[in-house]
Amino acid sequence: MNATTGPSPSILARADQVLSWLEITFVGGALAFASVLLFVNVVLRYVFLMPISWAEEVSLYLMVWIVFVGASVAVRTRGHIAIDLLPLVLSAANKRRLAIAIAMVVLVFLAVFGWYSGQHTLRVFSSGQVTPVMQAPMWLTYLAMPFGSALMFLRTCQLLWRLVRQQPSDLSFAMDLQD
Amino acid sequence: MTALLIFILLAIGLFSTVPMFIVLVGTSFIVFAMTSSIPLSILPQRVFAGLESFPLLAIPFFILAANIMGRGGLSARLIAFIQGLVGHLPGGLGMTVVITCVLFGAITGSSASTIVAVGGILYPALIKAGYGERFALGVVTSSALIGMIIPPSNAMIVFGAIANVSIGALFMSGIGAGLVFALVYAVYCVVWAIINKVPRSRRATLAEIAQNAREVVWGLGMPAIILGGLYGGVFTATEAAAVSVIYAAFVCCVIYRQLDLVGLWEVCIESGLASARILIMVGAASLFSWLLTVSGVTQAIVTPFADLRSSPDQTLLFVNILALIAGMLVDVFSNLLILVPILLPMVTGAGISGTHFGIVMSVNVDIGNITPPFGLNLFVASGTFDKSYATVVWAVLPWLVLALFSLAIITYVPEISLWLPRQLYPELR
Amino acid sequence: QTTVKLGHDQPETSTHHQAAVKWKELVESRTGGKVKVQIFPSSMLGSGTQMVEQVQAGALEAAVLPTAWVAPLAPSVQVLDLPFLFPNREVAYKVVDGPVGTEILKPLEKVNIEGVAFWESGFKQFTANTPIRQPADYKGQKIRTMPAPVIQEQFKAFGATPTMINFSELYSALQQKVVDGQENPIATIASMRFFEVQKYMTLSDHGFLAYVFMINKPMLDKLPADQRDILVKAAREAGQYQRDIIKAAEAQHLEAFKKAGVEIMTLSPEQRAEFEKASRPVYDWYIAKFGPATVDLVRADVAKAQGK
Ligand code: NA
Ligand code: NA
Repeated sequence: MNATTGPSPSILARADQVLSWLEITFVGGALAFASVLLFVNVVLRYVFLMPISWAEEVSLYLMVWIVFVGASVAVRTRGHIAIDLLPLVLSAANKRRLAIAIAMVVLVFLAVFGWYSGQHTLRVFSSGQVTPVMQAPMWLTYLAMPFGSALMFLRTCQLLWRLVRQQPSDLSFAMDLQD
Repeated sequence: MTALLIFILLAIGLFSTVPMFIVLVGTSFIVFAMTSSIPLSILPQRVFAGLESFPLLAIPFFILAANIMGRGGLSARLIAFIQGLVGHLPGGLGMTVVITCVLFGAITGSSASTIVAVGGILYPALIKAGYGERFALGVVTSSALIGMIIPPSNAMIVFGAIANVSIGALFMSGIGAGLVFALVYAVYCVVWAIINKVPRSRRATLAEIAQNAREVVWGLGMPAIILGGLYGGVFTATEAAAVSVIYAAFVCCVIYRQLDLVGLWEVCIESGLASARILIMVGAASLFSWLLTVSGVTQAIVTPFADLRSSPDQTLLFVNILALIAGMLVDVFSNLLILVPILLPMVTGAGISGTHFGIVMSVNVDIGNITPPFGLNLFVASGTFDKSYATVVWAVLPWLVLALFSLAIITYVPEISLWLPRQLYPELR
Repeated sequence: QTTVKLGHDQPETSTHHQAAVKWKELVESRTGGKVKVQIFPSSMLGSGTQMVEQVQAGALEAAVLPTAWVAPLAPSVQVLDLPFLFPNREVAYKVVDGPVGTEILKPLEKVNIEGVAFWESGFKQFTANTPIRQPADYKGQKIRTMPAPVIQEQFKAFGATPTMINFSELYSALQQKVVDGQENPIATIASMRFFEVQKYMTLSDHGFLAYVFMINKPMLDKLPADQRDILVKAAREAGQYQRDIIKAAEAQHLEAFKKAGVEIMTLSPEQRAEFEKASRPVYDWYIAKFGPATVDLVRADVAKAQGK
């Protein structure tokens, strides 16, 4: 059982667990798949002279999706890279206030970024642009940005809620693995 | 004005511990909204563009390969073997990092993937051997620079295309320059280890070395396969990263049997998450570089210097100072794209050869990877070793000084880098 | 006063950039400085696809880019990528400057882009590690292609294995012989320095690598009629200027290739006929996919241009 979801797992907590599981399964699965795909492509090209033309493209766009889904996990585990000098000199109470203020700034940012990246995705959608090799819809690749922003927004709300209620927040994803 | 606004927003954002990718992207949004009529919906595209790069794809694969090797016992065997050979020398393991980076640099054009591939294995070993966190982080993060100076080098390819200089000759000049770097770093490792009295391991017996060698033979197969595959024309540098994942998984799961499928799955997740933390920074930094380019901030800083007429030595000093300042703010490719066209007339006017200019610029933009605030290697190290950004910057500082020293040697003793290309390309001066 | 940003994907030493500078001069002097032009070379603003998106969104007022990047929006431009479509440069110019050129750029209007002129990188040539004189020489060779299906089909038709290699990795891939050959115009082979890592070059002139000069349509429509005219006409004139300077530039590049030890061959009329024959499946593939209309239109125009 996930330690941070409180004593009685509500529907929300259950949903949180499922979402966390989906996120990390996607990140791990996509990376494993891309590795195997590129390896197989090398073998097919070198040994059989039959490269998979779409191997490079699929791996590349999977990576973009890994980044934005993984970024959501990093919000939950507070793993994003930041210059963390200020907290060293703050008291515990001030540290919490700072964290709450930052969470709110981040929410505003994610709303703006999510909105504009959504706009861009819509424009690409309506122009009917396709990827160079597979001729797959290009908007699917851009969708990673609004989608990831939405996930991160959700995770930041969660974090803010815990900060306000003074609950400890997730610091690792390891517990998800044992689930 | 724009420059001041950018500076203030960055300072506030970074100081208040807002995640760095949000500071970079947020600053760009605010500045564009306030100073231009560019539709903001185009900005996410620039973040995306930073990620949509095939050479970058090597990073997650090398992270994954390094983590598999770590969890699956391959790294431990490799380290035991290396320690058996050089561990009894002062600073032996530090030198091992430097030498491994040189070898690794010969297979990749990216210094970020060198950090994860070499550091992923040797960082834990350095800590265990008593080098301390600061030295270990510093040597791993900075030695990876050598990987981009030793050919192949993406920066040199870009330089050659912009300045119309032989890329082959640039590659050749990278060998001498890379070795200068390696030598300076290796000497520092020895001196540092002696001063700080790092415990030396006892000299391994021949029997032990032989035993280690038998254990590690599969591990040594890795560089053999990658180097062989790369120079034998089997795969590209990016594909090499994916091949190394499969090879590492094969050795650790099938030969050593130290990693089961559950462990492998966990490593995939860990590596994917580490990649995400790093690459989202790359995307954000690419938007930020674009901001500096389009708003004309970088050009405005550089252009006044470009008209100065001076001796070759002074010209090269200007080149170095400008490129280092730009390297603090923008990524490798933006740095080259902005500076090279502006500086080229001035450099040619001073009678400096294109290859010499190329190697100086390539080393310079490469050093930009470890200069704060924006250095790819700093982000990568912070993400890979799970250390705070400030810790990484603090660890890298002494190595940055050494890098500048190496740069000075490469700049003012051009024979070191230019001797080899002159033998092979007689038309070069 | 209006500021127009013009983006392109070639270095400052290229004829593209010289033509862009020409456009800037023409526009600025003819509008009496009312329209200012800012040029961003070397893909500074992003990749080809991304610059097209920027022009669409109005973030970038103008761009001049290979047709490959507008193909997703105007599939008909891919007709220009068909191998051995034009017998020579003059015919190619006549066709793209005429009604056919206007016709194939028309679909761009629907996505806020006005295609106003054709610029170029010149004709594509083959380079390889072994001499290429006939399609059979391609048997079993791994040839790097751009990620464009029609180019893949072309090398399949010649019996080669089309291999996708990213443009930024191509120099290394040729050097390390991951692929045996590639195709590009002379100017690109020179600027990316592929001649350093290839032994043979065949002057095949087999594909016209056209660039589209595009302007954001809402911006253009908002301008006073006289300025709009100046922008469009200047784009065509600058394109003409590029045609004038590209020949000299190519001759110079070829000298440099020879000096670097590249053996340069020219296709004889018989060899060229053989390649044309081998290219037929590509046309069948294209017609099956996009219909015969555009191909027929171009072919009729080619015949007309040759007849004159
Ligand atoms: Na390298
Ligand atoms: Na930097």
